[in-house]
Amino acid sequence: MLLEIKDLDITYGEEAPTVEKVQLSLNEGEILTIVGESGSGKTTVIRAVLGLLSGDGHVSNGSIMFKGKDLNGLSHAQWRELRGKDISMIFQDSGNMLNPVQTIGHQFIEYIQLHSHMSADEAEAKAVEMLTRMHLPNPENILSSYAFELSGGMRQRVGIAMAITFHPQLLLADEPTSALDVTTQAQIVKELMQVVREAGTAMIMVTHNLGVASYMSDKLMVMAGGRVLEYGKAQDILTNPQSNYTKELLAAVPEIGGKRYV
Amino acid sequence: MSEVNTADECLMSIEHITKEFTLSDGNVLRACNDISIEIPRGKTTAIVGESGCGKSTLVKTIMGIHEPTSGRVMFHGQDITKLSDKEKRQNYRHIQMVFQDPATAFNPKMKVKDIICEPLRSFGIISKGEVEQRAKELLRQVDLPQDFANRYPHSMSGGQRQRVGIARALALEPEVIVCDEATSALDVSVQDSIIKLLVKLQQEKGITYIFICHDLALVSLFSHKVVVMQKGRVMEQLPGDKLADSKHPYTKELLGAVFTVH
Repeated sequence: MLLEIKDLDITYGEEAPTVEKVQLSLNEGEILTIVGESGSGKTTVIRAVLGLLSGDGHVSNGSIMFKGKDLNGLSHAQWRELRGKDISMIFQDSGNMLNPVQTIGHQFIEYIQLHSHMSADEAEAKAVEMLTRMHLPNPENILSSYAFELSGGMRQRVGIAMAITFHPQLLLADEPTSALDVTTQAQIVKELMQVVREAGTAMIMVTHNLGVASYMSDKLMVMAGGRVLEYGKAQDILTNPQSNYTKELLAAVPEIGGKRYV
Repeated sequence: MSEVNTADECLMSIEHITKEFTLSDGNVLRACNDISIEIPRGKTTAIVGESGCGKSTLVKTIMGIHEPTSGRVMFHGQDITKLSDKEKRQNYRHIQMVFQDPATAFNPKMKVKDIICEPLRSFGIISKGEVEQRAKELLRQVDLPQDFANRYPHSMSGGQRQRVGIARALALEPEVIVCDEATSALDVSVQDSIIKLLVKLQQEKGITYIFICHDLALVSLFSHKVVVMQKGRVMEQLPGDKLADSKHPYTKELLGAVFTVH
């Protein structure tokens, strides 16, 4: 078992828990998707796995075990070792994650050197290799560009290339394609699937696009109001949803050839 | 009902619109290239395409935010791209807009009632004392509780805020509402309820929608006419319920990029 979450409650400040009683387990190479409306707590769960709850958010009950070790109570140094190497993250808009006043290359090389003993030249070669793997043309040009000079799709490919550089065992992705238009989304979803399957990386993805979830996931979790409504094999839930909420959600997905509003 | 046929009365006629921008390196970018579209009265015309296809530039031209390089937009027998500032102000009483992100479309320091009634106050149609009453009427039309009148935008969900955006667009009783990606920031179930609301308002009031969107599945379910754009040009115009049968290679490519649940 790569990741095992038991009875997880997450609380902000002194309030009642925002997320309650989350249970999940993930084997190596498995892909889990968490779906639910904004405010359902899905992003809070993956942030907790990375030890990055915002503000005064904290794990108030339960455990998050990664490779048999409880992540709660890691020191800053231990977290630094883990994040970006064994566990890494792809954000909704990688443009927001990148420093706007440094070139992509500067940040990419710095990141590689932080987690390895490569020289600057070796790190640059590694960065070029990773960008090439994400089908980015002219990787050298991209390294000398600033984030704002790239399109949303290119920035997202850069974010994915960085996140998979060290073959993480667990990849967390927060709405990785929601900011993109349909054709770019389709390409990036397929590329992402290819790289994680090749490397045997496990992934937890948060999305509200049920079509993407259906395409990618082995397992699915449906959340609403901070609680898990359904959790299990993706195809089982999609073909035979148990909760009314999941049924409503599936019915609301627009499909070509579906029931017209007018 | 949903056929684009000659019986549809044309409310607005976009004729040979071309818009060029001069870039900082002196090159010319042709964002819209000879675009002609007839907008049928009381119907929904969807404009679809990837980012950068020119759909936002076209909307800005329709809304009088910039002047086209050539071509005209005929509405009520006049070319609305050539109006004086005074005429423009009067003209845009009839054409209102709903924006993509309702979180940033409002002044955060204004109460909902003042947001909704600002267009009415601006045209001197109602007095300050009538704001509360009129705001409540408009809230009722968009199925929001009347006590929302005294709330601030931040204390509402994304779907509720988008309803406020629609209420504001309705205030001046316009003939045309331009929706720029009005549901793409929302979750599917919320999107479903907003589309149902827009359809209901259209049936009650005969409003004409111009709906900018990149979700082809959604567009196929409620638009009467679909205009497919690519790289500044119109690729195809067809009835909404015939979108799935399109023979055009680019439309087929866009359709193929939609992820379906089943």
